[in-house]
Amino acid sequence: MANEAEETVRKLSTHKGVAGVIVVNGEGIPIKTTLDNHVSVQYAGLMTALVDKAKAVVRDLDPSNDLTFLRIRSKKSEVMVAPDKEFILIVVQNPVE
Amino acid sequence: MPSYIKSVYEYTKLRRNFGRQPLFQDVSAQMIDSINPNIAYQKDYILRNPVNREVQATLPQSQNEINTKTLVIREQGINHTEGGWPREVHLYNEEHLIRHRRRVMHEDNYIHAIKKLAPMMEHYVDQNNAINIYETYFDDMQSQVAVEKYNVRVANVFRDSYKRPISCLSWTNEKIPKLAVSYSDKTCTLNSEIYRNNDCYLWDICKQTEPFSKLQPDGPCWQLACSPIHPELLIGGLANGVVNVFDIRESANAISRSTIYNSHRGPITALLFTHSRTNTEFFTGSPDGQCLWWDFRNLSKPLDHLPMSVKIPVGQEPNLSNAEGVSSLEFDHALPTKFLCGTESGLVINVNRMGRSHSEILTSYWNTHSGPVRAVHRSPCTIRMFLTCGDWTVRVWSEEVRTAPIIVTKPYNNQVTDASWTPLRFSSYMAICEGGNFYYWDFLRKYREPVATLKVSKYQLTRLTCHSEGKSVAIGDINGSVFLVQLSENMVIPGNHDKQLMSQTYERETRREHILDARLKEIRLKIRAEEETPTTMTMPDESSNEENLIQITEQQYFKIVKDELHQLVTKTTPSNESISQF
Repeated sequence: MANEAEETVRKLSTHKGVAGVIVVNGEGIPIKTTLDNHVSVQYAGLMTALVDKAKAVVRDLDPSNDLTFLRIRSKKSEVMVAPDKEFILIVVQNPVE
Repeated sequence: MPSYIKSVYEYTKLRRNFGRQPLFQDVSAQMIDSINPNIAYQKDYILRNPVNREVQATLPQSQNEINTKTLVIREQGINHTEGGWPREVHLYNEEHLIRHRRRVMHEDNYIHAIKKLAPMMEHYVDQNNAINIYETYFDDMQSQVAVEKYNVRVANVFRDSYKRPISCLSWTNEKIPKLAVSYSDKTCTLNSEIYRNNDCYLWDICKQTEPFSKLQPDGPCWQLACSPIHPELLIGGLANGVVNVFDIRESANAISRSTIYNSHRGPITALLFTHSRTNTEFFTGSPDGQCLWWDFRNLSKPLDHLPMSVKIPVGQEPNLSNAEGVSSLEFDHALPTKFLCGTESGLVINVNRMGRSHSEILTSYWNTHSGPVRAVHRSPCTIRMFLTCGDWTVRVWSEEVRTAPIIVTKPYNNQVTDASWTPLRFSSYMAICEGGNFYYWDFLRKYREPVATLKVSKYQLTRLTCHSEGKSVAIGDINGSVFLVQLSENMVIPGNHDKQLMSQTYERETRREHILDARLKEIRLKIRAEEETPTTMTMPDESSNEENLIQITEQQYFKIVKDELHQLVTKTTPSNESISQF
């Protein structure tokens, strides 16, 4: 079972354009990451705060609604965040063209 | 807590430095001194009555200062580089970290979470790989110029409770203009309906329930004009030929009137302000055939008068008996000494006030309509072009061409009651007709039919006046309602090359008429020449043979007819229109 999870993360990181995959737990610790430690820690800390804020926005506008996905497009890359109840899956991808 | 200021002073002193204690004895009273009152002094004083004593009654007040406990605030930042680790895991111990991580990875929650989130993530990663969803499409396309959409709508309606037909409308010349409206039935004779209400109203365009103020002229008011510089002065021309000056600040009645002996002998059908240094002069026209010039400061007699006689029979002086009744006047500030006059017989006379003799003053005239000329208006763009409206048509004329209008449009279904050029847009004009319709024409966009029409009222429309900014148009009808119509932006502002194109149109049409005119003259001359030659030829034949005479005249007749027909065929169709002027 744990292997399956490992496999999934590995497969995701080998997708075209993907620069890194980070799994962050509820306390902000990067559990599984394919990037350097300090980068992962930065992503973990910053993303947790942003995801909480985004969730709050969505819930405030409509209490029956919930955040499913978050995408941040920047000049150099795109960060995609999939929140869960306890964990956050972060993928950093570079645009192909 | 700050300490109190002590109001106690302690000191130590030896007992022996105190001094002897006082010992008291009981002694009987002894008179030491007696001073008697001095009567003389008493005389220097009198009893004071009344006694002035100042007393002050105030609230007992006291001042006290208090303050709360001071709060000491300090700002401090925390640098959280890494956190969230449970207490037993030391940050710098790699082993601990790895072990903790391993533990979490084996949890059920973790595996489920990864399993759930991964497919969604994959989908989006693939999506990004497939297409760039963030590009701006059509970035390099130029924005197109918006298509002109003509829109005319009725913004407001001002109704007269007495339902009197509107005889004249005028905008006041102030920043927030008001509408001056005069009501009178132009078809009524002077004597009837003396009890009819003659009030003229001044409407504030934002308030449609009741007029801003009322004017009470002495009789039915046929024309109204607002002073160009004083927004409170209004001039009214009445049905009995008298002119009234109103000042709305002062009273509703006229502040000065012209005497009936010195004024027109018929109702005043046109009233306009002229150019003068003091801006106090105006002139009026009436069906009695004369134009009178006045200064509103002194209405006791007119400054000047001019009988409008153009068709003077031989041997007579120009006077009122051979004058044409005036039905409309037009004055443009660009030509201060000239004006146009529309008459009841359908002529438009060009008047030059600086002429010395009567024929120099009334320089030229045009046969415009078969009925009274209801409106004459010069184009603000090309001064030498003017439009006239009357009977069922609106025609555009040029000052240079005498014989025919330069632009003719299809006749309307009903009689046209008023028309005017738009003040800012060079190629457009507006017309209203008796069917209750408002037409807006633009010669540069559509030549054959109006660009916009609007059925304003189910009653006949009587007057039209456009505000000098071009956006609002006031239209009056026969039932007492004034409609405020607003035009869309593109009908107010001229296009980029409009002025140029319109003057080109004017040039072209004028040239066409000139050419046609010249050609007609040629034909006429030719015909006249041919008429003369047959007379010289028949003279000798007359004496000899009658039959021969008939034959020869027949031949000549047929030759002339054939020539005529031949020329008619070779010419283009517009000539047919102008030949009707023959």
